[in-house]
Amino acid sequence: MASRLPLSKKNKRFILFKEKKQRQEFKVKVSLYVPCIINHLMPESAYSIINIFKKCGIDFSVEEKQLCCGQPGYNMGFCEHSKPFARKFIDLYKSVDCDYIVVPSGSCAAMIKHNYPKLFPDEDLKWLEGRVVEFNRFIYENKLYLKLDLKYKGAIFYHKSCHLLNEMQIDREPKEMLGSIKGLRLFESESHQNTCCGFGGAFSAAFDNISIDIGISKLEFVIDNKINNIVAGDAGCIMHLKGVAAARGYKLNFYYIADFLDLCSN
Amino acid sequence: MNEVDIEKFKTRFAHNGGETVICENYDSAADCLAVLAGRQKRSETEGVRGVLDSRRRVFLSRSLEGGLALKIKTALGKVSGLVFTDKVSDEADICVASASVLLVQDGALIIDSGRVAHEETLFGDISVLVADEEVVNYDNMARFFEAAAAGRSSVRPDKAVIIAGPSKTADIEKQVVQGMHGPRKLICIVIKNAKR
Amino acid sequence: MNFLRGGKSVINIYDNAEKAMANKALQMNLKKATATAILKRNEAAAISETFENSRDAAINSRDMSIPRLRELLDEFIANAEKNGVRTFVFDDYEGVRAKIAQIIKSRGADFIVKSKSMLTEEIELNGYLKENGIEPVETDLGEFIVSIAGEKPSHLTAPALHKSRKEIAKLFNEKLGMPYSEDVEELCYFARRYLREKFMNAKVGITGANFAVADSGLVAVVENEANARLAINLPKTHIAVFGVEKIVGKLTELPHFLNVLSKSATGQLLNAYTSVVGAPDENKERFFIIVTKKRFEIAADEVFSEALRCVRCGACQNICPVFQRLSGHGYEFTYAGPIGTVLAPFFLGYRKCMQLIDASSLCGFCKSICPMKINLPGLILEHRFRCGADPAAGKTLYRRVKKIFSLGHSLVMSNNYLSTAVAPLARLYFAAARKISGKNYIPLWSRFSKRDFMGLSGKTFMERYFKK
Repeated sequence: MASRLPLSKKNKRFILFKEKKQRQEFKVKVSLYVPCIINHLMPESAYSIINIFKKCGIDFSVEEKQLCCGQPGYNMGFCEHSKPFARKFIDLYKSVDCDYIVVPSGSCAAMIKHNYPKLFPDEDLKWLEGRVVEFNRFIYENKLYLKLDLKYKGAIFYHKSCHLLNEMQIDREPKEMLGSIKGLRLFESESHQNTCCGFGGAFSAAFDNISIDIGISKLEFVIDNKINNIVAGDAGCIMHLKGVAAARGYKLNFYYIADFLDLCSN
Repeated sequence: MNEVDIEKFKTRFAHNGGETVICENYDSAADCLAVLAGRQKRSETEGVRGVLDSRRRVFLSRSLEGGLALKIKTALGKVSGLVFTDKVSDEADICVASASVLLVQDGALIIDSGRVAHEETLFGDISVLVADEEVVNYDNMARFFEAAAAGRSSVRPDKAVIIAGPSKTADIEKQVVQGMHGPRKLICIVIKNAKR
Repeated sequence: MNFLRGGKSVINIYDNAEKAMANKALQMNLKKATATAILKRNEAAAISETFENSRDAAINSRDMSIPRLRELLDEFIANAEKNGVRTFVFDDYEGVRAKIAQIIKSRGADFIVKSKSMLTEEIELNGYLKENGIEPVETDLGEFIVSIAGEKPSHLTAPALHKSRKEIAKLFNEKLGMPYSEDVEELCYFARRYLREKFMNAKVGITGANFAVADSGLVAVVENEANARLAINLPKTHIAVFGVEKIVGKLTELPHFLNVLSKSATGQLLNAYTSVVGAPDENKERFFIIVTKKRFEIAADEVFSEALRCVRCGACQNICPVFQRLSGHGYEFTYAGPIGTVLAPFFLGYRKCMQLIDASSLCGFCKSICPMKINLPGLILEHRFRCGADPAAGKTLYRRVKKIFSLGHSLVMSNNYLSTAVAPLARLYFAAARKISGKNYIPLWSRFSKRDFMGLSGKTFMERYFKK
């Protein structure tokens, strides 16, 4: 608003100072962890997160040596196979100078926070609990989304990704962030938002028939309600749903939540 | 029992499928039953009972106190085509018995099977349970069982049957049908200022 | 593909799902029924002032009672006997069945009326009684339909969920001689009249029990149809048969269980009828028959003991996306859905349940809806861990193929050099697959191109960010 008014030099300097101060108010160092699905299949989503960090003036870094969190082996029932990943994650991030490790995935965050301590019960891994934070919660709790001036015209269906919701208990965060977007109509459905998309890692390969059918139910519901945009809290859900939609020729837009927030802040 | 509790009980009981009629005294309760007996259509009961008969039969449980039973009998006597039966059976259209405990939040009643035979709340088309001034009301089941465990309840726990609605089923395509094995309708008559 | 799915001796969830999903009517029924059940459950839970408190109280009660189940069993027996109820305990199915048959025969009955009980399904009582010349008459409408069709129940609280009204109308017409009608009310009332005659003449009634109370020797039976009340009270002899895990410590704990059960199971504030039974009435007799099979083993298990908290409400089945497609029969086990998946390996062994424990996306909605907050996905995962160590299951090709995938992933992706090197190779592989098939799909994950693959087209984020 202020920029539309003709500004005196003094005023301008004051506003710049204020903006700078606002930016400096939140002074944390963040390390961005990039989950495999984002790294390999949706690299743009990682850039969306980086854009959001930049817009909020967050000091961030990415570790070049980071690896998968080890979830596939763990969920298939082979703890031993996930131990090397956990070991390397712990050793790497122990020495990284940052306040938070931001993990943009509910299932990876749950794996790291809840299951690593189970894999190494003798080690003191309490620092994981404090430092590892899921992306949605990080943006929400620090009120960063309020700095993004979010606008969007149209309706979306938000798919509450299961591990984000049920393992990390992150429900209110994305809902309120999306709710704060001006001009956005958030389509709510108790019965269809609170269901799995059918992905579930190895499950989607071993039981592709069930997995795909679960995805179809979700997509058909969205189409029946004449909505074109699906936003999901986890990248895995996007990969699966997008795959099902493409094979069936559904014309739908899929956004990982960071992509959508980035899109709305332009 | 205060008005708020009665209203709450009424909505909760309705949620469970029961119907509550609030009466001022025994006289209005008796009139109310007479209206009910007069209103009931034959065709409604054929399905459950499988008998075609133009007369309406009313069964009064011995659990009802003398005063009320008498008043009901006089009021029902005015309704034409109505007979009283001594034996409880599926032949009865309306079975009237008394409730011992009222559970407000659960929208349920407890009958004392020591006083009311099971058949009296299982047979017939409509089951009417009368809650008079003798009824003890609890906020919820937990309160009742606390009292029962301490031996302070009016109904012994092993004689308690908690009733919260008519007999129903939704086993065929989730369509609710009332009167599966028990009464098709459950009516609770709450008498506010019962005097004997 | 069968050898990759564990061979013939495995419960073949994949094929069962394929069959169930081909039945469009079944799918519609299932989805409609489960969705309404969940909506009604949420509505009832929101109305109640006491639901959450009761949930915690009930969990607390179970957590106190599971470790001392043997003690509670003794206490229950002592109190029940004091009330004049004859009590028997069996660890094997054969013993229970024989005892029940012996009681029935000695009372001179050639048929019995029976209300819904999952335990009698577990011990396969009906088949045994028929072999011994006793006709078991199921009186719960759903069970009645299922029994005259010669099938098994497919849901904890709605046994005939898989049957449409047309099928039922045909069944009643053919088997019971009812004039053909698809009117649900008419079908119900026909069954009522048919069963009423059985009730009036029955000498023995068999019911299950939802809960048993140790400190007073009482049993609580919860229902909506009134058939259990009839089966308990009309015949001269009443037999209640139930698993030892149903025992709660104190009478004051019972209402909390009743409270959560009714809301979670059918979305009612309270079930239509709750009978609390103990001492038999004059001229009548009552038996409590308790089954302990596998229960103590589960109770002693550090991880799985919480599975015994289950009150059999069926909420986890209603919310489970796999159950909604597979239907109860697909599990090939008495208890279906997530709780069935957790219990099955104890009863059937890992070898048979290899596929079953893998058939879950671990979405976790069952955990949040479970009134007893059982960590169902966590327990399913624990089964996957233990399955590898099982001598019969661990060495099967099914598990070995899985292990190779997992190990391969672990070896390659946990190595900085290999995990970077594998990306361009994968891109080549997908490019080739795309060229050959003309489609964006990869084998294993995108069978019959029902699910497209986004493909590894561009460079990975790490490659781009660190400019390699």
